[in-house]
Amino acid sequence: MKKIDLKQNIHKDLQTNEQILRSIFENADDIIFRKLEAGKSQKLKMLLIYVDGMTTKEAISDYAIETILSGLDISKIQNISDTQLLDAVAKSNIATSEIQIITTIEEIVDKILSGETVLILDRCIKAIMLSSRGWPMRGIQEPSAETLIRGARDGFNETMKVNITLIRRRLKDPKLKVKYAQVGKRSKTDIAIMYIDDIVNKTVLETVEKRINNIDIEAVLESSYIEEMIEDDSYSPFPQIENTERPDAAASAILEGRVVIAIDNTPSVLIAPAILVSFMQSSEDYYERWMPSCITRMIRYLALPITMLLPAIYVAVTQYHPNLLPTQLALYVAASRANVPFPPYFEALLMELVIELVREASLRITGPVGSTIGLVGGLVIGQSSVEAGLITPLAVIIVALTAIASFTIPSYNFSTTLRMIRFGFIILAATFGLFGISIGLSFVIIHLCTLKSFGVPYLTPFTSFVEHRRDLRDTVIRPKIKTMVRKPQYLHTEKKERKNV
Amino acid sequence: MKKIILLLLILLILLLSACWDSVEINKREYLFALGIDKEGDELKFTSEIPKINEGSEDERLVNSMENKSFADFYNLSYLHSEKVISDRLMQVIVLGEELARDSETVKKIFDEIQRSPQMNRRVKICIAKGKAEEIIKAEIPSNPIVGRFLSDMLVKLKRESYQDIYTFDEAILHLGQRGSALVPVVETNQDSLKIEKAAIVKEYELVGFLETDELECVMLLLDPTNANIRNINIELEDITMAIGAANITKTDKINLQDEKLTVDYYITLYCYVDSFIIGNNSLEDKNFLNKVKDESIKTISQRTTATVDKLKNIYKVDLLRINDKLYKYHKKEYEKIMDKYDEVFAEASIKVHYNMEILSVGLVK
Amino acid sequence: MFNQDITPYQNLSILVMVSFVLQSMLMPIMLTEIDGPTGWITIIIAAILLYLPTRLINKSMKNHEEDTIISISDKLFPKYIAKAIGIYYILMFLTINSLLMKDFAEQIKLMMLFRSPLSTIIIVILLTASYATKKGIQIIANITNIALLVALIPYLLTIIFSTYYADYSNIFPIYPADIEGVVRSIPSTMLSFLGFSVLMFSNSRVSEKGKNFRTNKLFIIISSFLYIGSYLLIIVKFGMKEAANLVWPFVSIMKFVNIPGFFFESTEIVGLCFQMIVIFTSICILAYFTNLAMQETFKTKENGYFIYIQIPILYIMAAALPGMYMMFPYIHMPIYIISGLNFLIPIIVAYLSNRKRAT
Repeated sequence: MKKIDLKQNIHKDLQTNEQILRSIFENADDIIFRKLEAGKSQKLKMLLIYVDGMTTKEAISDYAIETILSGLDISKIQNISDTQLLDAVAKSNIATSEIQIITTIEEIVDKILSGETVLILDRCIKAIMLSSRGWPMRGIQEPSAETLIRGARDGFNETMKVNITLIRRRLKDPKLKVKYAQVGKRSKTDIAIMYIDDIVNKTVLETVEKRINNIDIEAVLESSYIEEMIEDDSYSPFPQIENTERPDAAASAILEGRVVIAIDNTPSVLIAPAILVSFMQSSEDYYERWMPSCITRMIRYLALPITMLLPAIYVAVTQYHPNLLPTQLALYVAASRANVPFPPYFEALLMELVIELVREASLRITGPVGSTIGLVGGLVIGQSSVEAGLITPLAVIIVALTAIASFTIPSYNFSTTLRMIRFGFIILAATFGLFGISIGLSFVIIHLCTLKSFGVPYLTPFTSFVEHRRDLRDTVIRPKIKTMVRKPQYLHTEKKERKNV
Repeated sequence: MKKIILLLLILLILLLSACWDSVEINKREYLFALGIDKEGDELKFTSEIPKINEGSEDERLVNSMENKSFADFYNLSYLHSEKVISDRLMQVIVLGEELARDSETVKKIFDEIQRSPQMNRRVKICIAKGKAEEIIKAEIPSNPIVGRFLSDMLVKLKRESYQDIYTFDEAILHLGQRGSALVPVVETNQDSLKIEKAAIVKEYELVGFLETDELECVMLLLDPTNANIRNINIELEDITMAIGAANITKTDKINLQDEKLTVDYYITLYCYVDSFIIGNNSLEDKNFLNKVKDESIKTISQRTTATVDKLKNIYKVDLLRINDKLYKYHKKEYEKIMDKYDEVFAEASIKVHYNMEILSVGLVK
Repeated sequence: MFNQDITPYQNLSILVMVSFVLQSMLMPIMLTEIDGPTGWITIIIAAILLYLPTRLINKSMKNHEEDTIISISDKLFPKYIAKAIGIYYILMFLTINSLLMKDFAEQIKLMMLFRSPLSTIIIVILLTASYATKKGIQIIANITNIALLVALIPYLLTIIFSTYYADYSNIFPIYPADIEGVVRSIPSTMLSFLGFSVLMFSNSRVSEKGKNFRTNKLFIIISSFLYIGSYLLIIVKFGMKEAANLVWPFVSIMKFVNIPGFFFESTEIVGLCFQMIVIFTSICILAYFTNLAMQETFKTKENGYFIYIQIPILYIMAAALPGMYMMFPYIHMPIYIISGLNFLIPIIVAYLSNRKRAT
């Protein structure tokens, strides 16, 4: 197959153009080539190209073809130049919302593949793009991973433009900017960078744009591809970019001065920069009354060490420091462990593995079967392995508590990370007891301190709690909305206040 | 890449270093109570270890062994059991009377407990009337584990201010700073144990015992805010009545001049009438109440004076911590007499002035 | 906005943290030297002595904003004197760091891992610390602030809660105070304000240098309050005699945590875990500033890699040095010398630099 130069301009001869395009789309049967001839006496040859299934057929047949065929007065065009011809066609009553003049073959190919219809005229070196995008898409549903009791029920879907609309509906501000880009040499995925012009920090915005422009990848199938390509440290287990399926969360992030990256074909929208605190927040915190929200948040921060450390502490206590326990409990634990064949660390690892298996299994199979698996895993395995004397009841309690605590953390990928490093802590605890846990904790703290998300230290505002003391208020507790008069300090936004816009 | 190397190095070390200190919780045995007696030149350790098996945690093992020291005892116990002996949950140490009278041995034992990084300084301590072994071997049906029984009891007595100290830590602090301490005394009491008295330990040596009401007086002078006089029994106009003190305030005046120590305690008791007799309305009478006051002050003053005299003359022990106060507030004068303080104390005039107010007569007139 | 410098308060927390750890390590010296609970007088005198020259030092630093004490002296003195000052600081930091490490490792060994070899504990600590040290000042500052929140505050709370059933009259007698003891223990107390030496280096890395004078003053005030507070807590809990008798008063005090309703049997291990993170952070800080001193003395650009030179030195020193409590009889003279040098070198350098400026 000979190589076709995509950069070449459109030829004057329709026949040539058709040949080129046909060879480009060779063996692509879903590309429709429709030849037309308009005019009564003076025939003008035209070629309509579109992808079957990605276009709304009505837009093409009713509004484009029909108007062109009936409305175009061809008699005069015999002698006019090609630009005038193009003008005439373009200005005829083509009833599509958007029309664009394109000049190269490459553009034609791009437009066709993104669902537009391209009209090529004979004798013209330009072509007309008629907007006709339209494909089957999922309705706007509540995101299943981020459900709330109170709050909007709409969620993003796989179409970027819809997602942008959902955000714009919440922020009717001309300063809300949407910048398009395309990533992926083959997938040519559309990306929109959204921010509010007079809030966002320009350094952060430039970094985001620069990193997106530097991406060299074949295809972007999900936002995680972008996430991995633009995050600061991809070796870190901790996520440095937030993702959400909730338009309200995205809108609030934009208002805070962060940058939202919407990507076509995925309902997850990226939010950058993200710090540890932002993974611990849920939009519901701001929808409930502030006092209960404070309690919820504190519980969540309590869940953080439980998720990371509890099984490790169990191992350390039972293997190294039984004197940490109250005497009665120590005797009880010792008694319950009397007939268990495994050492505590193995017991903990085993149970953690079981929990992860159950979780993974119930993820794969949803619906009634999934919940059955949860029940079977939780109850039957837990209960019967205690009865069989394989593990102690305490280990089951500890592991179950850990699993529950891990699910109270709003961000799924963050809690996955915590669950992952938990295994490391168990091993450390098995070798050095609490000293091992302390060393592990120091290591995690050091690692988190080195992390940055687009220049923002990951552990702000805790790492500079005097300078960022105002940010501290929206961390472990949730302040009253009335008192949240300033934008987060750590983002170094252009506009510092939330009022007097 | 460097990160990976560093991680690998750490992992390597973790793997190379086995878990030297790991002993599973069920492979240890926990000393709950330890009785120490003197047997000639050796020490006899009686240990109580709760049995660890499911469902029957209230069983215990009691062993006696003759050893030279704690370390010796642990070593030998190590050879006598399939489990690792651990003193980390030790609740109580009971010293036998004979041992407590030998200051050298007490010093040795105290030092060993204090020096050990593992043993908790909060371990409770008491002195047995008689042999410590008998105390540990006592069978208490309601709470078979003596260590737990004594521990709970000592905590309660300390909280209610029946006893001055309950932990080893306090004993060592008092002995180190003031030279004397009041250690609870445990006695057998058919099917159970009782703690009524306190032992006077002076310079790591048991010198005598304080009876319950004497102890009450000492506690009153030591810690009046928490102390309580449960009852003062008096007899007035052929009626016996009991009065309890609910609230006590104390001020003291300490004066040291030319080796003459004068101490005055001013104590106000806020009392209530516990028991009287039905049908008698004399409690409404102010004069009668004044008589009650006078009589009860007389009773309690006698008791206190007797106790203080006993401390001064028989034991020559400053359990009232006057020396501590002298050191803290009259350091210059105290340093002159520090070496012969016992004599100064024996010669001291210690007066306790009581004042009483009857706050309530109860729910009936 | 996103520069590599630390903020003024991060500087403050570094200084306070490193001083606190040194203070808790050197407190037994003060407890044994002074007869009577009047060590707080020593602390106040030492703090005032250190407070006086801060203005002078900051004035000279204002003229050399990007410079540490070593590069300032490099501009003032002949080469070999500047080098000598640099090497002195390197050795001083190294010695103190290895002492700290040894002391800390020994505490862990005795309290938690009785049978584990000391060298393993030291290596694990060293490797983890080197990971942090290599990352630069900002990371160190971040770690310090986090450690302040998650470890130092719970640690101090643990100590405060351990004074349950304590005798508060133990802070007497104040009069007559043991003046001789107070004077004798001033050098060790001044040494324990190690932040005073660290600030010669850290001030140059602060983003808003105008606030340096303020933070340095604040450091001395906060640090002396912390010191006096913990000193009094220990005195209150143990009384003078017993406190002087203890090898690690800070560890011993944590055996008595008694929060009302607290049911755990022995709490010193939990306290030790907090303490571990605190000390660990100080080791990182000291190791970083040793790196910085090395960089300035040997005039190289990159400082992260000096940690690879430090690791073996620290390991050997920590393994070879006896524990802190074994050194008490011999430690007086070295402390007088080090403390004097730590105090005098900055003053001399600052004074000369100011004079040169004036002429």
